[in-house]
Amino acid sequence: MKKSYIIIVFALGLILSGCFSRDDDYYNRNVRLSITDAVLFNTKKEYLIGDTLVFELKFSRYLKEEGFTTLLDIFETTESEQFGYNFGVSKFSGFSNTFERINIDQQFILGARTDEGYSSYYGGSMAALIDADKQGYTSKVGIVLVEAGRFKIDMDFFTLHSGNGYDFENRQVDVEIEHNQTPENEMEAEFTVTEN
Amino acid sequence: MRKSVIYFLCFLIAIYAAMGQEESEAKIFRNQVSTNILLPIFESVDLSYERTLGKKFAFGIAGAIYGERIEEISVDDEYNELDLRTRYEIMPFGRIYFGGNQNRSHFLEVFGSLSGVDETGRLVRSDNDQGFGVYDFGTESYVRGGLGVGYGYRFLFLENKLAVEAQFGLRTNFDINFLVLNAALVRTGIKIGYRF
Repeated sequence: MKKSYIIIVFALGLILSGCFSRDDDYYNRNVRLSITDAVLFNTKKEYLIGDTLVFELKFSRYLKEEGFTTLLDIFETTESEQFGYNFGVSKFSGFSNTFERINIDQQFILGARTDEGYSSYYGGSMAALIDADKQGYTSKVGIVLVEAGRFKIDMDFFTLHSGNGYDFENRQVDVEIEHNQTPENEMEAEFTVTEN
Repeated sequence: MRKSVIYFLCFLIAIYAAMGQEESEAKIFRNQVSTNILLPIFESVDLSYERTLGKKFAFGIAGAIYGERIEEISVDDEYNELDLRTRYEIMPFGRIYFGGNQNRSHFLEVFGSLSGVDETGRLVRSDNDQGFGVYDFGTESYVRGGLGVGYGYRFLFLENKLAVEAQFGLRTNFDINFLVLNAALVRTGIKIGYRF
């Protein structure tokens, strides 16, 4: 009878304590969001060598966050006037019968860039800048086409960073936005370059 | 100097004699309320109630309100850039007495813990005037559970009505790394209790 008291007290302590465990999200200094099909590709699909292909990345400063009914104001949260990101270009290879990633010299890429600290930390270089009316962010990118072939701009999965994460003296909240692409939007990313 | 030593020895003998008398006329009290007389040094206060079951076992409940200085004996006051401050704590406990007699004995204790914590430096989401969500680093209050063990020694004086306890207790909580990093000295110190 006496032992049962002890067992009950011990079990009660465990139960009461275990009910109030906390999520292990201590390391989170940043907020993660996601957007879909934020890249607008040119409807033109046929180019000549020497042409410039242009695409645009646009997203609102007010984004949906999972688990919340109100939109998140990423500009007020981060106070960041730019979000940096990376994109890739692939060229179709007849040998492998698939698109293979190629490197493009920076001189052939036109558009706003992030600062050196950002690019060295994240490896990204393109910048989506806050619009004049401060309602959204836009990145307009041009690629000077100097090679013939069938190409694709790889925007199916990349992350935009507010840039507050690498500067530990900066006490602003860091926001990461994951960009996803639907198959339809991915098809629009393909284009062909032919010689004159 | 010599006089002081003689007075001190007389005092010890008097106490010992009184305790010997108490042993022969010992009364059994099953209830005890006690408080830790060291906690006020750390701007804190606690109160324990203990109910004895049989000769060796006891259970009870304790509550404590902590001030800022309690962080001096806690190792979980800072964790991954988060400042943690325990404001209050409720602790159900069970004890087993051993290796002594009616006036003095060792005891081991197991206790649960529900503690109210203020966590500063954490991402906190709120709505701005326009109704959009905004994150900032702020303070979040929550209740967390934990479990602790303790060892102590208890003396009984004044016909067993007065209890003096020396106790060491260590409590962890159920957050991440709770086994080491979030341990805290809880129910540790010198306690004075009244038995009835």
